[in-house]
Amino acid sequence: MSKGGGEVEETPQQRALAEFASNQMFDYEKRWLPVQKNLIAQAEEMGKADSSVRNRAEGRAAADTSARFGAAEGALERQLSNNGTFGSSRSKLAITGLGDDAAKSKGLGITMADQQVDDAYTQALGSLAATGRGERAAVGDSLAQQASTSARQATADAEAALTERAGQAQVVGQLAGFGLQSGMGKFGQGGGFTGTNDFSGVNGSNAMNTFLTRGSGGD
Amino acid sequence: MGYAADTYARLTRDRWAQYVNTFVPIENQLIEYATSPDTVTNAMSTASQNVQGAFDAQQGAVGRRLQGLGLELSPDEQAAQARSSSLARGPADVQAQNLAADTTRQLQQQILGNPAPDITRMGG
Repeated sequence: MSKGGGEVEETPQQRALAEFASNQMFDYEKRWLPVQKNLIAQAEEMGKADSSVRNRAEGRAAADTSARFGAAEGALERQLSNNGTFGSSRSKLAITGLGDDAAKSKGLGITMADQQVDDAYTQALGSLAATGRGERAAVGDSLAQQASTSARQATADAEAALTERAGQAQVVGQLAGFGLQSGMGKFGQGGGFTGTNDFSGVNGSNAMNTFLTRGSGGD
Repeated sequence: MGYAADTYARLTRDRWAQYVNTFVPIENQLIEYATSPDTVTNAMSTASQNVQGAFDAQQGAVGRRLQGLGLELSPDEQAAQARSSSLARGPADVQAQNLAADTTRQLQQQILGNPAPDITRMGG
């Protein structure tokens, strides 16, 4: 499976996996990324000082205070009427004092509502950042996969090279064996041994066929 | 490089670009919120504005309420009411600012992964 220069061709499985990863990315970009961007925009909008979410929360807090203190004001006025002190300085200051209490409650209520919006804002940002960290981890995974692919390729290259070298060595050995055998044979038959390249007297065509088969088979 | 290697390389670059463009600004906002001294100062300032605004609005509402009841404050009563209101307004302002500062610092600590101890739960 090796190409020229020791490179290993990608297997159909590797190509299919890459295509699958590419399709997944396309799907994410088409369906989920817009949703995430929309959430990010909403979170950022919520965090603004004059955001609609903040205004609504503050409005609710103010309305709650008004409703509760409205009932208290009614009760106070009835009580003042019942005990005959309505219209006195003390009763007037009681009414204005209740107003101060309402203002304090309202101010603290709005502040709490503000803080709750800040809490929701930072939680939303935190969740989105966690998603981002997942994306970053996925980039790392992708890099690791890339590295793993490289490692696999290097291993495959090494194995291919080893097979090729081993094949050549085997052929050389066989040729040497043939040469030795032929030399020995010749020796035994009185012929001279002139080395591994000396194919005279042996079936040289068989030896050459073996070499060519091994050589071409290393692809 | 082959098709698979090229594809993985492209995907890696795309995902990193998406992370940088989409999520890094979010992280920066969180970091800014968690580390900027302005965050606490702004929260305290807003809390103060909330209380001052509530007292200002309530002053008008109380005036209308008294009018509706057919009551009117004499100059002495007005002065007493102003003193009383001022005495209520100051502590309420401080309380709101402290509340905002505490909860904001707690949020900052949470973001930084170091939640501040909740004093109200330490008594038991």
